[in-house]
This record gives sequence, C-alpha cells and structure tokens, in this order.
Amino acid sequence: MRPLSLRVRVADLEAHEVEARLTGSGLALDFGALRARVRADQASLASAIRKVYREYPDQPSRGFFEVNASVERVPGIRRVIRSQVKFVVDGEAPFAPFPADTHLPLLEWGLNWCIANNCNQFLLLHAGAVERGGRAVLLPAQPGSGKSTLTAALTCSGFRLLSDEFGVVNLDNGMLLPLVRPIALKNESIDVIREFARGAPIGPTFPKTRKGTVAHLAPDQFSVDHRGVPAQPRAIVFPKYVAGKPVSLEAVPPARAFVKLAGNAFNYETLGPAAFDAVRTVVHGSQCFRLRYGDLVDAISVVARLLGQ
Amino acid sequence: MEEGLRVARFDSEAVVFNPVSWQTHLLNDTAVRALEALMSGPQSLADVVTAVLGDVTHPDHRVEMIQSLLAELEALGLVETTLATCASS
Repeated sequence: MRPLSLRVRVADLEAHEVEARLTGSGLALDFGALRARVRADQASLASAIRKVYREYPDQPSRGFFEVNASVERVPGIRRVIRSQVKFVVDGEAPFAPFPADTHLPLLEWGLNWCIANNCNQFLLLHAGAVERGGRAVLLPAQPGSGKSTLTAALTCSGFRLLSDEFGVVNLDNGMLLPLVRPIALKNESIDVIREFARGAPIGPTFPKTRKGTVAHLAPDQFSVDHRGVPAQPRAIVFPKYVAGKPVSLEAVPPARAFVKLAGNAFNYETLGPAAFDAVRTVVHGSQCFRLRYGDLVDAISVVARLLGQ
Repeated sequence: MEEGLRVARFDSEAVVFNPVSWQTHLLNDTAVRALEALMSGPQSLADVVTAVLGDVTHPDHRVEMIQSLLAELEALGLVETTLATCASS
C-alpha cells in the first residue's frame, strides 16, 4: 500500500501504473519552463522513466502541453529480427529508428529536438545552469567539454539544477527559467559521477548508442520541487575539462562572452532582436570566465566562490 | 547609420545587431566610437575622424584607417557612405 502523502511522485507509482499512463492518455512531465506528455508502448521504458523521473509529481495528463511525443515500436519484420523504436511527435517521426533497447536515450534526444525546434517563446542557450543562494551560473559549452559532468557534480553538491542541455532565458527580463530534466552522462562521465557522488540516482546504462554509452542522472527532489522558480544569472562560465590539469579561471571580456553565448544558442538567429536584448541583459548582470579543470572538487569550489559562497 | 541598430557596449568593445541582416557583430573600441559618432545622424568623414581620434591634426594614414574602417562597417550594412560625406572629406 502506498504511504499517505499529499504529493505522489513518479517513484511512488508502481511500474505497471507508469506503464498504464504511458500506454493510455500519456505521462505528464512538468519540467518547469514547459510540460511534455509522453506515450510509449514498451514496459521497459516505463521502468527506466520511473527511475530517472522519480522525483516528478504524478500529474493528470490533461490541459496544454508544449510537447506531445511518443516512443513506439516499429512494426513489421523488424519487430522480430531486431526490434526498433521510433520517436513520434505531431504524427511525424523526425529521426531514423533506434534499437529498441535504447528507448530512453531516444526519448531524451527527441524531447531535446522538440524543445530546440519549437520553443521560441524563450531564448535557448546551449548551456548547463545551476543556482545557489538565488544566484545562477550558466555553463555554456560545446559537446565534449565536460559541461554535463560538471553540471551533474554541482547538483550533487548542493546546487539546484536549472537545466543541463538548455539555458532557458526569459525574453522579457533575462531571468533563467528551470527546465529540469535528467542529465545525460556519456561514456567515462558515468563512472566519474558514480565515484564522485556514491549512491547518485543514475538510471540504466545504455551501451552502443550513437553517442557511446549513455546513462541519466535523475534530478534531485529540491530541483524538481523548485522547477517553477526562476533564477538571476550572475556568472557565465565556459568550462573545459582537461585531464590532469589544475583548475584555472580566466576572465573573458563580456563582449566576447556575448558572441560565444549567442553563437551557441539554439534559436538566437530565429529570435533576432529579442534574443540580442536577452543576451545583453544576461551578460550585463554576469561575470564571465573560462574555467579549465581536471578535478571536479576544485571546479565546484571555484564556482561556489564565484557566486560568493 | 542603420535605423533600429542595437548596440551593447562592454568596456572597450561592443556587440551590435543589424536589424536588416539580423547578424550580430563584435566591434573593437575604434569601430564603436565611429559608430557612436554616427548615431546622432550623418557626419562628415572629418567629423568621424575627430570623434574617434580626437580634435588634432592627423597624419594621412590615420585618416585612411578611419576611411577603411567605415568601408568595413558599410560592408556589414551598419553605416552608409553618401556622396555628400565623401565630398566633405
């Protein structure tokens, strides 16, 4: 019997209950800045979702959702020889099918694709973002720079997760809006975070995906509970993991930071002047740095100091 | 200068947004000062040189540098050179 609680989380649901939502009217996932309704026809995906979305409230799948997506088995002979799944949004499958045993990475990448292509009510920076004490730090970076690893380590060290893939900026005031989702860890990063934060809620491991081995760190309860609370950006830190190197922090001229931030955004060119104004607000209110690190503990100390903590 | 141009000044550099091309450009201090000189309206080359380099006599190569700079800004669609401006220089 489920313990009495005012709030039911996805983790409180039995696996068959999650599956029933996925195969029925959909599982409602409230990320903060937007909501998604997800459907699926595989029990194993229900199990994975239950682990990595464990802290999310179980909400009715009624009302407006910015993203309506499903992960579906590919019919036909493929179903017998090597089972595949496809990501479907608005009746279309924008990608080639994935092996069925990589359903969660497909779902997560599909959701990223939907957000990057459709959510132009926000400026979407390619950046991690965390907050502590009301002050947020943006971590914009190219793939392979250690952004997700550092974001994950920060959230395992008392920082609130705002987002990993998308730095979501309110176009009206330059505030960062939470888009709390599981953090996709790749290859060596998975064991790095397992070692850094023993017992961290990391979901199933998916080897041999298109990006190598992938596993997802479930967002913590505090971050999920505060997904409706925006944060003021105070620092922009361009991180770069360099194995074996001591931590170093170098100031970046704000105009250069502006150009890098805009150049890394998903929809800067689509939004034009509104995006320019939003980036200007963010940069004007922030200190800008380049961070090179070989050790997560040192990097976290530096970020904490930048936020005056 | 292009109407509706957005300029974000940071220390000695600036980022500008061209409302026609929707392109964003990073400008150094000299280029920003030339642009700022033109923000109030059309100026002669001599006026722009004075605004950027100061009110003293300048060797030809410094004036040519400003001319070249204005040509670059014009290529980016940020300013427009007119015959009147050339004549007054």
